Amino acid sequence: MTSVVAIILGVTLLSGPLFPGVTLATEPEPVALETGNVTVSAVELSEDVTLEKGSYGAASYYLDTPPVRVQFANRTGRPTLIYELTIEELGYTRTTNHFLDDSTGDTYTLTLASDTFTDGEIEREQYNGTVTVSKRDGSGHGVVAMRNVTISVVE
Amino acid sequence: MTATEFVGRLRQRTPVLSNTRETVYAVLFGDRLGLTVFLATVVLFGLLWRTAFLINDSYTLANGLYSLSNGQLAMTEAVYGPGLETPGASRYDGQWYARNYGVVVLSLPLVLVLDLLAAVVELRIALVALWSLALLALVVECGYYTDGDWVLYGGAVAVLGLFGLNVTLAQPLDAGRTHLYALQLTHLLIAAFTPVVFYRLLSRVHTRRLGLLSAVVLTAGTPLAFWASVPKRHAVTGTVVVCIAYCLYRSHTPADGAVITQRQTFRALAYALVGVYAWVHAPEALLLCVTLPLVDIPTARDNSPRTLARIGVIFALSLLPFIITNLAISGSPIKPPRLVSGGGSLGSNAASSAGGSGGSSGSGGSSGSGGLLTPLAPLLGTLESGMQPLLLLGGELVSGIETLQQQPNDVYHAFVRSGSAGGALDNTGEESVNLSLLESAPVLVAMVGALPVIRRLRLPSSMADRTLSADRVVDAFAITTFVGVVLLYNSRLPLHAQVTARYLFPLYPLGVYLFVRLPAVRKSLTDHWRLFLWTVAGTVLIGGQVTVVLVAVTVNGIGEAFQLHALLALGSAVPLGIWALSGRSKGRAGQIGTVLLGAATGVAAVFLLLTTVEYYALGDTHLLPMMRALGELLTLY
Repeated sequence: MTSVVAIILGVTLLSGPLFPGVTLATEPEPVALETGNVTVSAVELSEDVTLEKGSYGAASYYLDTPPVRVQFANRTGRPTLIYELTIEELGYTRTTNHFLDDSTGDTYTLTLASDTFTDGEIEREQYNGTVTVSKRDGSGHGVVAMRNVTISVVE
Repeated sequence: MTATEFVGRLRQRTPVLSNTRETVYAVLFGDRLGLTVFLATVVLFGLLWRTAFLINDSYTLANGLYSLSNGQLAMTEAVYGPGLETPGASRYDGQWYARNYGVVVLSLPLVLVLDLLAAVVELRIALVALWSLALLALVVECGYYTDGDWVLYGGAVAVLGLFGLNVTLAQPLDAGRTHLYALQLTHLLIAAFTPVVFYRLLSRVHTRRLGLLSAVVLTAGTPLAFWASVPKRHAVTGTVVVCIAYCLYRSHTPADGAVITQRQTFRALAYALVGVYAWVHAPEALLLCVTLPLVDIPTARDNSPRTLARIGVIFALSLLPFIITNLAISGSPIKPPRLVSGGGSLGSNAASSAGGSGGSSGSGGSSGSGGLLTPLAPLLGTLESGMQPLLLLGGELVSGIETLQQQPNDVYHAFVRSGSAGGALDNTGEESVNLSLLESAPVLVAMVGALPVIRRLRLPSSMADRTLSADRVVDAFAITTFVGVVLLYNSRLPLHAQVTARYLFPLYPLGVYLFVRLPAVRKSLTDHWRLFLWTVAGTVLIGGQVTVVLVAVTVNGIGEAFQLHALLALGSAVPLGIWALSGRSKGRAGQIGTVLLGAATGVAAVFLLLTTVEYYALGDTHLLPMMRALGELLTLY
């Protein structure tokens, strides 16, 4: 027991300025984003976007956007993929950035963060929206795919 | 002095030292199991600790502590948060002041300790080491209770492994925010004494086994751990209420302790706790100031003027820090920040207008009683302003009763089912993230087990010559305070930023105490304690995974997640309530009841874990790097 205490206290002492050579707690290294190159060969966009009344008795409507599957023809460095949904009639835009790196495989699933709308905001049974997938990499910004979708309100 | 002499003297002192150690041990934890409860609780709270602000109100405390640590009572600089005008801050003579000064002052030494630590070691590693040492101490304690050394050695290896894991994953902790950490640590340590004293109370009233099991129900089955590291009054209130109940019990039983040899001392201590608590949150202290004597004086053996005067003096002394702080801030002894505010409502946020209302009452008293009474005017003025808080409290309690009659829907949403109720939404009015009392702690439904007990209860033919036993006195205090807290906040609930009905926080320990006292619950828990613990563990480990999958598959946002947990909680509460109503504990019925109690406790624990790891991860700012990593890994919606 004493030795365990000694190890714990010893390691703690090592972490301080008394031992400048030792760094135990390190900030994550800042990574250079939007580098390299990405070419998307195929995009699977589902059009099944819904505004669903909160389940389990929760208030408000939850925006449920299906994930988009993309296939890469080529991917190097740390490019960013951006999934965006715009519903002009509601004055609403939501984007979610996905940061890719070497651990990303040949395909990738893009998700969009969910959002809520109050009961007062939802007045119609369906809305028109636009789904956009774009990329940012070493060669700049480019739209990968864009599609008009119908967002149906589900009570 | 030679070395031999020195050692000789040290030897002579050893019994004294070990006596002191024993005394401190006995005073704080009662016995070895009490220490084990404390360590287990601290380890759990450490796991869930996030070094960030959950709620705006805490900015006020952190800035207050920052100023105080620089020798200033008034807040000088908004080091934390958007500015000095944060919820709960009050303005006097053009300067902003914090509140809850009791805990702010108590956190001062910890700021110093943390600053010192930060100077010599990396703060993150230091706190990880402290947590690991607490875990190691817990392993040693557990090793004491089990045969064989495998717990000890296995545990020690596990502690080292976890320490290594945490150090590997560690990122530096911002050493400039020690005021926040100090406040969190103070609250966490105070909160850890809720289950400890709860254990001590119930192990005295009943058995140590029941005491321990009740501490498990309280810690895992109610939102105690969620609020433990949040710099708000709630965890403190819970501990104070349980401590008062404990002192009340000891003051009604023959003194047998080594340190306190007179029961009157415990009685005085109960009142002193109320006085000291006023320094943290005056309105709730005021409520306790009414419920405690209401139960204590009619049931005490000795109410001679001398005894009462002695208690009065101690109570007055315990109020001194509160009075001095108020005098320094507002110039009035009874007007703490936030007690008497604008609209006459206890605890509303219109603190800036407090100067007006309190001041006018004082002057109104002296001007109205002119003429003959002029010499007495200051006294009358003081009396009148002293009565004012009591009148306000009375008003709040009455409006609590009115709410029961006039807005039964609100009461339903606050206590039973939050759902999509407007009042239970968050600030933006979109997410249903404020659970009801029962959804936060479904075990509390076991309180309905009081109904069959009351039905069978036969009142003694003569009440006059009957003195209540100590446990009945504590029951009476728990019931009175329970009702008092309900009425005090009834008119304001449901409300945003409650998460788990935090205003009603004292109801969690009081409620658990009350239902554990019911013979059916008590007997079932004690008879089938292994079954109970296995059910809690099973619900958390297996039920927890099922819940994670359910959330991941069916939930799109935090409101839906909270309501899923709410329904699971109510789902576990309904059968438990039916069992409690049956009032049976023999044979199969007792086993069923135990399983239902364990399930309801486990369901609340799963909510607690997922809330701290996922829903309110506060930017994955967990103190322990391994919890941060878990939070980063887990993305459910």
